[in-house]
Amino acid sequence: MADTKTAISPAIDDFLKRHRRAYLFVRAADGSARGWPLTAFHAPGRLWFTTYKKSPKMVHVNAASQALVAVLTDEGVAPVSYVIVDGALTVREMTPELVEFVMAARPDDGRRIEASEARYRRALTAGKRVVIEVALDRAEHFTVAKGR
Amino acid sequence: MSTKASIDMSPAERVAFLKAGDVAIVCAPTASGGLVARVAAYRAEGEDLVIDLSGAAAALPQVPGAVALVDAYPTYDQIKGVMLRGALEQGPAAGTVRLRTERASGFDFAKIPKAPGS
Repeated sequence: MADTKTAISPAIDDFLKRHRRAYLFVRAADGSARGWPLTAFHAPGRLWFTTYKKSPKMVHVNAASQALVAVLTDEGVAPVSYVIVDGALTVREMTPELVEFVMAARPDDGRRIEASEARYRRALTAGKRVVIEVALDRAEHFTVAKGR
Repeated sequence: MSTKASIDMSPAERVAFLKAGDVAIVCAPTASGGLVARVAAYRAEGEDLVIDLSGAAAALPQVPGAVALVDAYPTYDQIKGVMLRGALEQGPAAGTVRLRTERASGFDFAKIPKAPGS
């Protein structure tokens, strides 16, 4: 996969490589904000998410050209630290290369179980999922004083 | 023919989940056609949120069309989340806004039926 030059600082890029807990936001056709929790996969110059083509969110995602992504420190870590990414949004078909990238990049933190791994790979290769790509055009880091 | 089980939270479950949490990710549209999002501390009042505008959260505008997400992901089987859509309005105290919720939904992965033998 071709590298994309990132427009963000090395520190923020490192944060995005280490944290996967994310929330994707777009503007709906009526101008309102819509958002969804998703796992973020970091690739050079972009974040990737996978979802089902028929997911209700795709109505809004397919119509959007820009997105905000909030990537947070892991649950239970205090204070909560996060990065807001603002970038161009592109929807891509799942390719074999992307399937292997996503499978390899999934967090190995004890929360995965073998049965769900096989099911997840089948879902990725069945042609039912797409990749949502958000370019790392702009990003800013914040910390919340209160955490949980 | 199988029936897909619902993982939706009931209104009472959503209220209880929100009451147990204290941090939300809030996103609102901006006048310039973009979006602004911040993580902020909140206090739940039913399915409305009173949001603390301390620090970076001060950038959240008082506008309609906002969304707030509260979720928990200790393990896959324990994933829970609530999504609220509504208007950000003046809060009950200085330095706060209220998300007046117009639409709410929630999901609980613990409601996913377990496969036999798992």
